[in-house]
Amino acid sequence: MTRYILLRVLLALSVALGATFLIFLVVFALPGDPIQALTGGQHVMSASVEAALRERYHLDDSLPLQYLKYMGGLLQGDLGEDFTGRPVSAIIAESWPTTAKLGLTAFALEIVVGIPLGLWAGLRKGRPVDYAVLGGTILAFAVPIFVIGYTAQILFGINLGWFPVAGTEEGWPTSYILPAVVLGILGLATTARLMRTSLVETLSADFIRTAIAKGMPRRRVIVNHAMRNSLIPVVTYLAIDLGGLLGGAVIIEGIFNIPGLGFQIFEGIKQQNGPVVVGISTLLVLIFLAANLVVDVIYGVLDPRIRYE
Amino acid sequence: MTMPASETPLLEIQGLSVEFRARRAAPVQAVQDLSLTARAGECVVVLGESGSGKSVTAKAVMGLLEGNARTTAGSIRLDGADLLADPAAMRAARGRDMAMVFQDSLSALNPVQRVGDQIAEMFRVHQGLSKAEARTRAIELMRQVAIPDPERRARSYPHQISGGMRQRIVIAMAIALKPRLLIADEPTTALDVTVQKGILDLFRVLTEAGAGLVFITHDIGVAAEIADHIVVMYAGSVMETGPAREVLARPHHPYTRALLASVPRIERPGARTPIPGGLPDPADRPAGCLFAPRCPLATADCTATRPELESLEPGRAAACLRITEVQHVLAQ
Ligand SMILES: Nc1ncnc2c1ncn2[C@@H]1O[C@H](COP(=O)(O)OP(=O)(O)O)[C@@H](O)[C@H]1O
Ligand code: SF4
Ligand SMILES: [Mg+2]
Repeated sequence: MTRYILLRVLLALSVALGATFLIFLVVFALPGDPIQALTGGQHVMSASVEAALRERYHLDDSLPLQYLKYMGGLLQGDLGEDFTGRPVSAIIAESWPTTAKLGLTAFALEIVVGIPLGLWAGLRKGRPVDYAVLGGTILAFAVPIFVIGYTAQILFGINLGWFPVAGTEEGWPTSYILPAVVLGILGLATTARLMRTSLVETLSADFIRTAIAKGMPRRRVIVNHAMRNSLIPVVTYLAIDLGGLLGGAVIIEGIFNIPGLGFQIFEGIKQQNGPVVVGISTLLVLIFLAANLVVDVIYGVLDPRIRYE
Repeated sequence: MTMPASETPLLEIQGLSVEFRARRAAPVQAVQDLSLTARAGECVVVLGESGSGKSVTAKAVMGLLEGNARTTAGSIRLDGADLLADPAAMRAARGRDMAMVFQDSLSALNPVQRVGDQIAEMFRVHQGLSKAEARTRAIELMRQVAIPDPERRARSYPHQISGGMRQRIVIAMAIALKPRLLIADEPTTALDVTVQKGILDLFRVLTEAGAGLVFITHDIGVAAEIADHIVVMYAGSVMETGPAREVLARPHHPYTRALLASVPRIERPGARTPIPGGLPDPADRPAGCLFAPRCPLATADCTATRPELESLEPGRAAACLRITEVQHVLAQ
């Protein structure tokens, strides 16, 4: 098990290196000049100030060199500053709790609603409940996320007035419920479908037949034998999804005007604010990889066949 | 072994028919009018080609048929109690009075549970033993089925041990509560010959200890080794039945004879005559004798009339319209 985890960590580290380099490449190789963007294209900056800025952000170095200098800083906990001099770490520290609250609320919904819904449908395969869940999830997949977002805003925010329409002024949970539902709806649908399919598949497995032949009560057959096996793919999905949820949601944070990481990335791209985009993206990659690492470990715990390979 | 006629047999299947319903297609008749008797301390081998309905029969007895299967006729009595008529009796009997050993031990075991726990579960659930007590009993049982170093083995997961060991685990699970009836569905098919022998010996010990065994196989060599009694199945029905030694030495039914001729034997190496053709389509079965399309002795009558299983001599029966002629030819 230790060897297994060690291997995964090494793998995650190498992926992190590759991914951050790619992000770096894409952001800083973007057409357009960040200094120009900062000044709105007008030559209000003196040549010496511009040169100082270029020096400060290593803009005149070659890309690989820029990357190395950046990573060097990163290892010392320095994510750099944006072009207005604000530390990127401060921007992250400010917006991260908002994103985390939103993401974790959505995640909780996926688990608390998605798994039981999937189990219910799976145990009632081919009955009305099963079809209702199937229909609901198809609807969730089919309707674009911003349509769901705006509809929820109009219906529950404006018409019914149950929740605030936008912003985070009323704090958790009031301000977060509506955006979390919209953010989690796809994951919830996926979780329910995965759980349902996995349970149905497991219930027809030979070892379930064995458990019945052993005279095990139905409840025990389902809980002790079917559930643990059928949870394996669901947990895998959930953990990967958590990485995504914690990475902020550009669209949802935009619709509901929530100042989280996604919001900052969006602003950063608009302003060609390279350090912010790279800094936050790097963080997201690291979160995602950490989530993957957690998946691998959970997977190993749930499935001994993997643990001992 | 002879029993007084008045005694209720351990397992008595009478006129069992099982069909599978299919979407937009005629139902598949997997078992038709099948009767079979098993007694304590005896091994009945159900012998037949793959697809002849052996597993379906076993699953019907254990109440493990798939959702699209239906028993359309017949009765299955365990110690006189009709299991088909009384689902509660069926549930109560499973694991306790009757148990099953499956062909593929890897898929038959829960992949994420330690094998020792899978055995111990029998004692925990059926007898309410504590974790520690159940564990001790499981290890005792593992020793009984000749698993070396059972304390260590008990902590293994199914994929970590050999096929032979796994099958012993499945057997240990099945015999945990000393069920009177044991059904084994091709328990040695997935194993190599030396391992197979050990498992057969284990089954022999169990029948000698008084268990009634229904042993399913398509392998005549295995049947010869373990059977007291043989039931030859073809296309869902019984073709011939009788004491093992007699059926194998003097087969009556043309199908049994063809089956025996289809395997190589020591006394005539190389002389192997496979049966031409294949099993009839279970959705479109012949109206007359099920074996008629492949039978070298078939006549027009055979394709029109379904033969009944008829007693020929004490303990032996066959379902063939031309049985007297066949026997006559045999005598020469
Ligand atoms: N789950 C099923 N659905 C439909 N038909 C089935 C199913 N299981 C078995 N059958 C039918 O029953 C026949 C007998 O199957 P089986 O009892 O498994 O044969 P075997 O003698 O090899 O054990 C098959 O040929 C098939 O037509
Ligand atoms: S009844 Fe006819 S076809 Fe069937 S086995 Fe006997 S001789 Fe062959
Ligand atoms: Mg079979």
